[in-house]
Amino acid sequence: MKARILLGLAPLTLYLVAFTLVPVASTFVLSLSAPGDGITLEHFRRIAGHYQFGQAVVNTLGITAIGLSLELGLGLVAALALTSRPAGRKVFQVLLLVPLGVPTIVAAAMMRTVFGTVGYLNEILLRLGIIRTPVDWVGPRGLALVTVAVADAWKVTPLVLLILLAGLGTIPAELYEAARTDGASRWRQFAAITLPLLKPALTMALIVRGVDAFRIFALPLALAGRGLPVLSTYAYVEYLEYGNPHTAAASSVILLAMILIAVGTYLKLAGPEEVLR
Amino acid sequence: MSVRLRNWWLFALAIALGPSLAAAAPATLTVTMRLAEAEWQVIRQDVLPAFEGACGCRVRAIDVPPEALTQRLKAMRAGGRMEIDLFAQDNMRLQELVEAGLVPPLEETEVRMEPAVLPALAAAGVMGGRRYFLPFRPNVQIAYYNAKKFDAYGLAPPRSWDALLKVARAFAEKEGIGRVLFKGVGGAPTTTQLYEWIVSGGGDPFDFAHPGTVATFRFLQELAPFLSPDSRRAKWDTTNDALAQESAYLAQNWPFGVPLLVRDYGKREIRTYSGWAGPEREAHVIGGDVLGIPAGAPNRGLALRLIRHLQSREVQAVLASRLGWPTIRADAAGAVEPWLRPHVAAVQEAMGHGVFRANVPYWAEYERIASEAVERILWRNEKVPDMLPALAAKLAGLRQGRR
Repeated sequence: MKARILLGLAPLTLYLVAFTLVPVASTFVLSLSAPGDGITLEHFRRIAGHYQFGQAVVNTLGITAIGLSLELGLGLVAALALTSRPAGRKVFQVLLLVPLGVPTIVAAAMMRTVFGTVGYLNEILLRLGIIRTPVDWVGPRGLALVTVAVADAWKVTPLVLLILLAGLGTIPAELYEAARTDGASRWRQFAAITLPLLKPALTMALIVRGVDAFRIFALPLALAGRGLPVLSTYAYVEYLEYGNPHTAAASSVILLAMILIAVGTYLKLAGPEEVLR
Repeated sequence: MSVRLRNWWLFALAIALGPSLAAAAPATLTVTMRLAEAEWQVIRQDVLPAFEGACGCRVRAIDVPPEALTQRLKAMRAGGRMEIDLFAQDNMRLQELVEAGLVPPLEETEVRMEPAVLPALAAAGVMGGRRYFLPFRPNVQIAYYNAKKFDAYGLAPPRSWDALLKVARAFAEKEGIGRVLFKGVGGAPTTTQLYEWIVSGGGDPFDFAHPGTVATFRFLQELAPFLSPDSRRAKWDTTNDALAQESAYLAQNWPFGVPLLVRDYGKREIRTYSGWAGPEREAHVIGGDVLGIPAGAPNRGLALRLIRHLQSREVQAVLASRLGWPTIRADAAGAVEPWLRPHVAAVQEAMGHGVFRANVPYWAEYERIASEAVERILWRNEKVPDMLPALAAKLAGLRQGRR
C-alpha cells in the first residue's frame, strides 16, 4: 500500500524537483558564483551599489502595497455587492471576470492606450476641462506606481473576487438571520460575522496575489519602460541587455527572499491555520 | 509469411535503410535574425525560397534578439550541440562573440565579396586584422518629422543644435507638452543616440571628461524640459508608435519606420531628412547587422552559400525596395519604389555623415554608464557638473582595463 502511494506521488515529486527545486537551486548557485572565483558575494555587492537597484526594490514594494490594497478593497466590495443578489447579477459577474482572460501583455498594450500621453484618459480629462495639458501618467515616480498598480488591479481583481465569492458562499445564512433577530446593524453583521469568517479566503487571496504582485513584470515594462524598474525587470535587463546572468540571479534571489519574508510575516500575524483551514 | 516474421523483416529493412534515407533528406539550415514582423514576411516570402530552390535545402529562420544570441550560442556550445548555422547580429555586439571564441575567423577563400559591395561597409566585421563577419544590412538613423505640425506652427526641421532647441521649446510652449523625442529608455537605443550626439558635439564618446562630451551632456540638460514625456519609454519600436500617434513630432530612428509609418499607417505627413549637426559636425552612427557562422555550425558550406545569396544584388534590391533598408551594394539602391525615394535620399545623406562605433570589450558596461548618465540628467534633473565626474572616472577605469 505504502509503495503504491509512493509510486503515485513520484510524478509530482519528479516534476517539483526538475522544474522548481533544481532551477531555484541553480539560481542560488549562479548568484553566488563567479568564473574562477568560487563562492562570492560580489554580485550582491555589485547590484546593491547600482543606482537603479534601490529604486527597483522600493518600486516593487510600492506597487505590491498599492496594488494589493486596491485589489482586496475592490474585490471585497464587488463580492459583497454580488452576494446581495442585485438585478443583472449574472451579467455583472461575467463582465467582471473578462479581464482575467486577457493575456497580461495584451492588457499592458491596452493600458498604454488608456494611460499614454495621447491616451483615452488624457483625452477625456482634457475634454471635460479638468486638465489643460496632457498628464504623463507614468512620469513622476509616485504617479507611475499608482498607474501601474491600477492597471494591474484591473487585470487581477477578478481573481480576488472569485476567491472572496467562494469564501462568502461558505458563511451560513443562519448566522445573519440570528444577527438580524438580535437587531444587529449591517455594519455590525459585516464586522462580527463576514470579516472574521472571510479571513481564510482573504488570507488566500492576499498570498496568491501578493506573490504575483511581487513578480510583476510586463505592465511596468510596457507602461513605463525602464524608467520604473522593479526587481523582475531589473533582473531581465541585467540578463538580456548586459549579458550578466550572475547579477540577474542575485536580484532574483533577493526577490524570492522578499516574497518569503512577506508571506512568512503575514502568516505569523494571521496565524498559519488560516491557510491550512 | 506469418505476421510476426513480416514485422521482423520490416524492422531489419528499416535498420538497413535508415541511415541512407536520413542522408537523402534535405539538409536544414538554421538561421537567426532579429527582425520586425513585416521584415520577416519579406525574408520568408521573397528571399529564402529562391535559395532553398537553388540549394535543395530547407532554411529554418528564427527570431533571436541580439542581446540573447551570445547566451544562446554559449549554451549550445556547452551542451555540445551547435544548432545555429548562420546568424545576423548587431554590429555593436560582435566583440563579445569573438572574445568568447564563439565565432572563428573566416578563411581567405570564404571572404570573397563582390566589387559592388561598398568598401566602407565591407570594413565591418574585421577585428585585429582578421575577418570574422560579413556585411548584410547597414543602418543609419535619420530624422522623422510631422510636416503638418511643423507647417501649422511655421517651424522648419532643425539642422543644428540651436535650431533643435528652438523647435523643442516652440512645441512645448504651444502645446503645453514636449513633442521632440529623445530615446531615454536606456540601453542600446539611448547609447546609440547619445554616441552620435557626442561625436556631433566634438566629444569622445568613451571619455565623459572630454570638453566636447561635457558640452553634449549640458546641451541635453538644456533640452530636457522641452522633450516629449514619451522619451522615457522611447526605443526604436516605440518611437514609431509616438510618431504614428502624434505624441511626438520629431524623432531620430532607423529607416525601418518609413514603410511602417508612411505605407502601412498611411501617414504621408511624416517626412525624413538626415538630421542635425552639433557644434562640431553632423554625425550618424552606422549600425546594422553583419552575418556570422558560429564555431561548430553543422552546415558551414551551405551557410556560406546563403551569405552570398543575401549579399546578392537581387536580394539587396528586394530588401531596399520592399523594406526601405539601406543596401550594402552600390548597384542595388536604384530599385526602390517612387514614394520611398525621398526617404532613401535622406538615408544616403545620413550615410554620408556616418561613423562606426568603436567595438570595445567593455561595451555592455559602457551602455550601462551612458544610460545612467542620461537617466540622471533627463529624469532625475541632476546637474551635469555634479553627476558626470564620477561616471567619467568609472568610464576611465573601464578604458584602462579596470572593472
